[in-house]
Amino acid sequence: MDFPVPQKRISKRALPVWRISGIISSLIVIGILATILFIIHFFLNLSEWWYVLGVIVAVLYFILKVVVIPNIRWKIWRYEVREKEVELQHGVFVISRTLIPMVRVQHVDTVQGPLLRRYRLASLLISTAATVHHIPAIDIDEADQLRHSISSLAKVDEEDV
Amino acid sequence: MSERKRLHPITCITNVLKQIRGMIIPLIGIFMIGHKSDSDADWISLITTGVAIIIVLFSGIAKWLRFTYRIEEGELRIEYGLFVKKKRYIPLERIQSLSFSEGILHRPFGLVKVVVETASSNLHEAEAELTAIKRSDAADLEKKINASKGKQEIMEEEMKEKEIQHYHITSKELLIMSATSGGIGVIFSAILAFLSQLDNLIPYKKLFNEAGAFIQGGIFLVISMIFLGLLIAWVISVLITFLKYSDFTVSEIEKDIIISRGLLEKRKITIPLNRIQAIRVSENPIRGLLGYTSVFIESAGGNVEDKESRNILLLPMVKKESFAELLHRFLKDYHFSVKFKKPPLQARVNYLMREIIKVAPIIVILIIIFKTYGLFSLFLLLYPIIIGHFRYHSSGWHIYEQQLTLRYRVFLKHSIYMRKNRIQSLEASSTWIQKRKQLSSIHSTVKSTGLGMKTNVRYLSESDVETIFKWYFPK
Repeated sequence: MDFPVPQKRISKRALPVWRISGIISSLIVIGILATILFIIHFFLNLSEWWYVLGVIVAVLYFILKVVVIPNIRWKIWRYEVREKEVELQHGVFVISRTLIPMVRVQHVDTVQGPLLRRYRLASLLISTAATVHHIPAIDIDEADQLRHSISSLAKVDEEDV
Repeated sequence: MSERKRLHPITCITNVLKQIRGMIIPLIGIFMIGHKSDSDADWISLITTGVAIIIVLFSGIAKWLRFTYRIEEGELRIEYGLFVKKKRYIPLERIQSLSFSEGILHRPFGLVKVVVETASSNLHEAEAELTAIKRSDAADLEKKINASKGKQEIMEEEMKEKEIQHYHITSKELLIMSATSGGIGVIFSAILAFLSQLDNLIPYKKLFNEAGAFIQGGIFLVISMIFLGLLIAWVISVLITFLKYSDFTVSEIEKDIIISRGLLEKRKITIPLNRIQAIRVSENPIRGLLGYTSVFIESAGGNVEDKESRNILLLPMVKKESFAELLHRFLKDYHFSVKFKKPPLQARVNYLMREIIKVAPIIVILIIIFKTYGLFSLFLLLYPIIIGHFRYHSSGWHIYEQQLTLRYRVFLKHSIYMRKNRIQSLEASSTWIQKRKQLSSIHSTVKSTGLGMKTNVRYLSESDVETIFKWYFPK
């Protein structure tokens, strides 16, 4: 689209957070895969190639989850809060642009898990009457400030819900 | 009506019935165990059942005794609870809709069931349910709620005068609707009827030389059983639809739309016009062929688990060419004669590919397993090609003043009419490849029962999506 892309990027510290959670989730998936192979091994005599394939899949998955996807995702993530609207851009393979008029915003939350807290980050949740939009990792001070500014800008028109 | 009121005692019976329905399976289990072993166990099972039934009876009565409702200080106040006393106060102006229904138990006593709904996020139950109250009390309640919303109190006769009837189902529409209600069932039974006629043409005897007669008999039996089963299912669904939708009436009083329907169980739903979030026109392929379509209201509030309140049917069967004019009479904010702009020609490939990709793995696996014969599975490609083709031709968008209209097809063809101030957020999405082809999908969300209703129209041209975004941008 020709529309100007939203300008603000999310915090660079999102990368280590995504990598760590990527490591955790891919270890779980690889563990499950390994167990399945192990169980099959008991019943069938698999050729070595299956194990090679298993290792390749595991390594690819790991690289994708820990290196590639966080990088692309960070590069694409943009947001911008203006007086009358909030605009977001996010995605990895499918890139989405979202437009939320300020008058539709019902409330704003900031949430922080243990990982985000360690990196002084927070996620911002913007809720309308029907949708919830999620900015995954911004600096905690900025998140607080955004929460304040959005909730003061959002004067919901009672008639519209 | 500030004194505390109870529901009608018939509630005890409905309470008990509801409880027993939940207990039927465990009770049967207990009986089965009892009957298998000696007489001692028989006694135990009888006693447990007896105790259970007594508990259910008492709790049904106790629940009825504990449940009171009243209107006080502009609030509907409900108190209930067996051991823990619960109080629920609902400000009258927060009440979104009242729906009345009359079941078979209600009719003889002149009672109605009233379901009160607000826009709250309480998804799994209605805000308040008065299982059985007198009709006059219900009318009184409705009047009080209307009064609190700043509407002047209207006398009964005056109500009748102000009521404008917009639609009443004709017997022809009702018959066609009932007949097509079994959708797939009808087609299936038609196909099977045809197949069973083929019986004479296919040389079963030659095919199964020895056991021929036996197998032929078996196949014929199975086919006719299936056919009979489908036929019965269809007849039942025709009857149910007929009972449910006969006397379907849409009328308007002041700023409310009132929908009533039903022969045995009467249902009446009131929806304030300003609570309507969007209008959806959904066209079932079979009814579409006959030139009919259905219209639904998307409104905030309602109970997610209740299908009836999730999809409010406004016009069950209406001629495609006449619904626009009919709806415009009472939904004056909306424009229904819309000329849709279609996705560009190069999007056609994307529509086809999207469906083909879903079938491709099955075909690959079949070819791997059955080798040459597996090539027959290529016929499976017909399905994605046909459905992709239809979806491409059904998609479209249109903007007129403050209204966005989107049309798409899953199996049914849906057109969603949305006013700008009801759209909660707008999203555009595209993959890298689509970006190069300058295609983009649009997703709009309006509030509906539960969370939102998202409308997705895929692979429009990028400039069209941009136009929609520009239109939506707050001024």
